[in-house]
Amino acid sequence: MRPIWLKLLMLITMVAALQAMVGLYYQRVWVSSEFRTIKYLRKLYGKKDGIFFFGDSVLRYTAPQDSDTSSIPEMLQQELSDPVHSLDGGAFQMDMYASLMQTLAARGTRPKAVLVPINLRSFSISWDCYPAWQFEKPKLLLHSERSFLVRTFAKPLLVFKAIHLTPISSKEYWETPVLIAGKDVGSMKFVHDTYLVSPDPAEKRAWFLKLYYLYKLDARHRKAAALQKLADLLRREKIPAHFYVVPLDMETGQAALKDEFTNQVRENIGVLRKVLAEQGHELHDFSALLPSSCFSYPANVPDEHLNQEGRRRMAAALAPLLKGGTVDGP
Amino acid sequence: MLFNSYEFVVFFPLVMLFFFNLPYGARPLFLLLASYIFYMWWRPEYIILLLFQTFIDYIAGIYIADSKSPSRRKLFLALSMTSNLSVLFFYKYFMFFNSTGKALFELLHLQYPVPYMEILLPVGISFYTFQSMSYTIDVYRGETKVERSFLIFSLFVTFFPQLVAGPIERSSNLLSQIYERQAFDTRRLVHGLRHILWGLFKKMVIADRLAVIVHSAYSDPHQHKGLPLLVATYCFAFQIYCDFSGYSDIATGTAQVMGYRLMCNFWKPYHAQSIGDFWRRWHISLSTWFRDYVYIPLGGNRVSRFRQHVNLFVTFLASGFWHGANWTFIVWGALHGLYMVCSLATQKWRDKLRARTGLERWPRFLALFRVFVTFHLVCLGWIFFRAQSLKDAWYITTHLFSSLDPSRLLNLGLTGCELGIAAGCIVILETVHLLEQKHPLKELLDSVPMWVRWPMYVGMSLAVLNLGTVTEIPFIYFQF
Repeated sequence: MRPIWLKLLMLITMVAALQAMVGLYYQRVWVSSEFRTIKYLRKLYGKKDGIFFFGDSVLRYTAPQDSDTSSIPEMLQQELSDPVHSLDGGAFQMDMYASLMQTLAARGTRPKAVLVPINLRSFSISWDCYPAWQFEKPKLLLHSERSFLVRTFAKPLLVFKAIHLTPISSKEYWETPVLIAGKDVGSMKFVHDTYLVSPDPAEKRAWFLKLYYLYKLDARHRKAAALQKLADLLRREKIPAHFYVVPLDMETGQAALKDEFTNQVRENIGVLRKVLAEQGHELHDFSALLPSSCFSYPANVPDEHLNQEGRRRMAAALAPLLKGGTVDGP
Repeated sequence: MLFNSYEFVVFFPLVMLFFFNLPYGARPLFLLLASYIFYMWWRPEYIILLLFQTFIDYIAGIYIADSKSPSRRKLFLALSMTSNLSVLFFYKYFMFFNSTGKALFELLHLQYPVPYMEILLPVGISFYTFQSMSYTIDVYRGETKVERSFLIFSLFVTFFPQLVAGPIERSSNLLSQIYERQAFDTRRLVHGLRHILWGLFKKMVIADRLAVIVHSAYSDPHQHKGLPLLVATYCFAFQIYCDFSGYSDIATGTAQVMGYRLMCNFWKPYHAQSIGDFWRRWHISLSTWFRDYVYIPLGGNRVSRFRQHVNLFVTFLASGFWHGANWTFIVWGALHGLYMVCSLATQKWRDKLRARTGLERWPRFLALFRVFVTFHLVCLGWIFFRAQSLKDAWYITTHLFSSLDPSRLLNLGLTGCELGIAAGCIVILETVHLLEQKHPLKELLDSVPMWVRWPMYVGMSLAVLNLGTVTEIPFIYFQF
């Protein structure tokens, strides 16, 4: 008669062994149904060349009137001999980039260079805390790509709530206080219901700009921490990286909010520059690269989406970084 | 702390490890501390309420036992009742009465003087309050010995496996067990772990899966009509059963591993052949509580027939109110009270009908028919229990058969495959219930060889680990 602890151990071992197979099955199901980027990512495992271009929807967005619908990476590709691999997705931000890069690095991928756009809006509450843009499942899936244990136990960990796919609930999001230049102006819901639906287009535009860019960035912000993690990883892996601030519609911002807008944007960029400098990286500031005419707003409020001309000029500004030439700044 | 959380997966083995390695004398204190940690995991500040109620009932119990004068005994019992019910009233019912009062004042165009207050309901308050109250009543009646050790009494009120959702234990059952010296027992461990696994399966695989369908239909019933509402109502019947009995199974199993026997809280309730039978099988610890502390003191069935009916109705109304401060629960309780009264009132008539139609010659068919009718009466009650308002409940009740298009079922949030898993799990559940009819499952499992048992354990473990839902669905009875 075997002792009970031995029987329990045997039972646990059997469950764990079968769980490893179930884990593989789940990963396959998730990859096919939820996160197609990973299929593309897998093609890049082990590559020692090419330019990896992270990004959000700005990379691919096209304005309705555009005759050339090429994305920024495609336009950039025209100027470079190295293949440009775009690793982008709608609302992707720093912790997604960090997770993607960790997975690639763990799989022995060493690109020739990495382009990391920093969208200043991604640090704002409206993006950073937006429940649908937390990307917990893709991040978990990416983690499972580089860890056998995570792959095996991802589902049980989710089922037993050790990992939450929705770390921020809608209720929490709407209750989050909005700080404009350090001043509490009310909850997200209050700001939304009071200012963002204003019938006066100028007021509405001004409030969107405030919400998107007039936060006071702290180096301890979780997205800044993710930026630091990514920068650290790239430094350790000796992968050349180019971090840049994506262009903003500074003209509209300046017109709506005067110097307050420019000053706050500059201050926040300063914080990011410092974070990157600590990891030995430089930050290229393209925030004021483009005039208003280069932007196109899908939601009719000022953001960073570009039209054909904007994308072309953005690609042109990035090309010298990768060719090792001088930067075509503003 | 939730039983179906990773915290409990760590907490429970640790508690076991320390429990069985500590000297017997130190175990109650250790279990009490573990129970407080278990409770405080949710909201540490509400431990004060638990301590307050424990202290009041401990003192009241001693004074009741030591007082010679009946009036003093009554006074201390009243003190215990008042303090328990006041706390319960404030945390559970104040908002309900406040909003009802406000609505009434507004109807009469009067200024309502009480401000709006949002009060968070302490988890498990109805359970531990009733358990603690039953002790003082039993001491008053002389049915239980007074407990003079504050530590032991606190553990009786706070014992973590049953603290937040029952079973509502009686002092006569649990208190004496705390004094027993529980040695580690392999058989008990195996039986306890089996109970836990079965409970987790019911909660995580069946209840939480069905919850998706139920939530989809009941959160906005006006978007649905016909079959989806009907199916969601059947699903809720199984959801609430698996959710609550699953919790009770985990609680029983957890206690069993440590050597404590908790009372059986559910016994195949949907196999009941009458509403009375249903209440002897559903949430047994609560229905016996209401029987012993409300129905019998009201006179029970030792009074006139009319008075007995009133007593029954009042008891069920109180049971409905115990579940929650909402008109839907009150109507649910009233409906069951009405069922019981009608059942008693028509007993003779139904007996005659059975004899005339000759149905008694087919006892199996008759039993099936009675199970079918009882189940559907219970389901009708569940509509009121689950609906968010009486208006919603009325809409659902009146639209159950308005469209029987099966394609609408796929609008309920589960894929065809998920629906298949849910249906398959209900079949497993009912198969187990049928098997239990002849032999207790424990004996049945013990009698089968290891190569049958182990694949079952492994399969169920894998089901629990993988088929549970990712979204957090708390145990339904936590809200009470």
